[in-house]
Amino acid sequence: MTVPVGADGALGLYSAVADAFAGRRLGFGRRRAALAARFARARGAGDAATAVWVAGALGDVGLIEVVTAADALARVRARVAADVPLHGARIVASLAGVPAEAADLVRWHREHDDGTGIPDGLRWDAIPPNAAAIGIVDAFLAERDEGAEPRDAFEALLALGAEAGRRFSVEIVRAFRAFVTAEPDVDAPFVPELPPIDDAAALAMLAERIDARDERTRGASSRLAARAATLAERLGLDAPRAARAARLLALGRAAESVATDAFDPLSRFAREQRTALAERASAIAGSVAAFANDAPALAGSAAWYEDGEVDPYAALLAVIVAADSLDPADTPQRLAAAAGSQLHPDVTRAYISALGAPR
Amino acid sequence: MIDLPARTRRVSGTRLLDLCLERGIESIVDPFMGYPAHLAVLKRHGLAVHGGDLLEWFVRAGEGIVVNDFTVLRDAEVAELVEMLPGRIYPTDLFRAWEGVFFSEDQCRYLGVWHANVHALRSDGQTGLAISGLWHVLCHWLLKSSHPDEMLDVPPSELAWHYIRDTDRWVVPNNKRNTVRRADVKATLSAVRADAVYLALPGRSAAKRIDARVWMWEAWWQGDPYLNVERLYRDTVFGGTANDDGSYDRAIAEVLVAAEDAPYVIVQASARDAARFERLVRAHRAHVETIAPNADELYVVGRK
Repeated sequence: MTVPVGADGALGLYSAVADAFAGRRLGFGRRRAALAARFARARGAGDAATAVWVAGALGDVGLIEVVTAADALARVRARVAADVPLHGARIVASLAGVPAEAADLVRWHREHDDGTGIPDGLRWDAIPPNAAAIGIVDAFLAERDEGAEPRDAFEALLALGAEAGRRFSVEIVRAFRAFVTAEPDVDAPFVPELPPIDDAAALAMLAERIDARDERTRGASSRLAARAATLAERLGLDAPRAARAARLLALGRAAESVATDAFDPLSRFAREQRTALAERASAIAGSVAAFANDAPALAGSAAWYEDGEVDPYAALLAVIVAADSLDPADTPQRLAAAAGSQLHPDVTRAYISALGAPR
Repeated sequence: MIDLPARTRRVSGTRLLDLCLERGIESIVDPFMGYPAHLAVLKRHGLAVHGGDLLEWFVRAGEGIVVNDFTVLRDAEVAELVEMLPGRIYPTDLFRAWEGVFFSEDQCRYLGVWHANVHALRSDGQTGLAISGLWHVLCHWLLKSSHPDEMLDVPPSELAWHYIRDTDRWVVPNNKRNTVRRADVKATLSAVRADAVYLALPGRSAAKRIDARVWMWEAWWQGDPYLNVERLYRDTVFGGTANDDGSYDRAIAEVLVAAEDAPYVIVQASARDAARFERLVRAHRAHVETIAPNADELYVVGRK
């Protein structure tokens, strides 16, 4: 299944992160965005199509702000989840360059026609039609693609019909059925007309938000990015690229719960943990065209030097991540001891001479 | 059957929350509360909330989802609510007057059963939750009468179960004193002090144009299908005398005077009424700003 174009920059990254937090296949948000935008255009709301695309892509992005304990009661989880659209709206409102109305579409796309939705319990025409339409498209695609047994479009439409007048507006379900019947290629692309967005700033903000989910990682991405840039200059590598890759590592924690056992950072257990995070970060970055080149470095960042040839940026990331998690008093000695086996010797040497044990 | 359009005013708790957070507002009173979902949202986010309304069912619903911090309806209790209990005598023809006009015979019978079962509840919180849940059933039925072929047929007890269970999520403590009262605007504003007064002001002749579902649900709660809710508004600020521009302005001014103790007043308006409300608020507040987050929402915020 292809991901529609027009989603290949920072917004695509936000969308992929939201997919990861929501436990959905990467690219779901962008498929939802394209279908919702085309549906808006078919309903005569073409002026809002770009805002609908943004809201469709970033609908679940509020999940970044939601942290619940693994053993939290269902009631507590539901209460916290009720604020996800509100958090999402605030995140979208903070992104420079996206249409202003997109934030409100994110805010209300989980409302139900019968007033039982989140976050406000709005009903009927109090819910903006474009927001309600995103909810319908979301349910349609989830029904078709994301269930244990994926269904065809006809079956997915039947499931939507069962919720007409409850979760969904009868009129919009009717219009959606007509739209899907008239345009059966529901995965057709949509290219939003967006002004250029500062990908670096948007990535920095995204990584910061993910870091802030856990007290132990707060501020980690900025710290790693600064060190990665310094080390890259020392090694003659592209400093901005190294810094970007360091920030992208935060995407590995884009999941509802992340293992946080405090293993020795140079132990085999820690490597397994780091591998899971690196692979997730790599998969997310790899699903977005503008960041796909960084995916191999991210995936290789958890590998050990003795495993074989690695990408120079992966070797750099491996060293700065290891150094960041070591006790500052031991860092030079531990890094030196790991050089040649776990860490790339040249990169390790450069790190120790350039940065020592910075805190 | 009578076709009721599915129209309502957007009152967004999260929007109000944003307005409050930006201004450091920690408590709010809404003297024209209506169905208090917005107050429940604000309460969930830690604000002390107070509401007032003239219709009793709104107040009862508020006792369930605003005042109530802990009480929920457990499965067994919901089961006893949604069906006839053996050994109890039910007034099954209490709402017969609505049969064929708004509801089917079966639905009217259930309305009578639910009326009796909800009145038998011993807790204000549970009563409020039941009223809130069943309100959704009423709306569902009326909507289905407009779209009989496009909405699923759901047995009344199952529908009631679904909607009553759903009200649980509104029950949350916020360690503040939250209140609702059945009172007119002046009585509500004189009874509570808050950082802000939120006003979603009734339109002109609002009592005459009250949504049929709203009066119907009050009639259901009172057990009187012929209830006339218009009389409740007759002696209030907006009752009867606010049909022309001058008297409507005077009515709004009276409300703004009653709200003068609060540091902030937040008036929700439409773009069409914005200039009028801004002018009226300026007469009572030193600092006024108009915030229009989108084409459908506009807030006139007055500060002392």
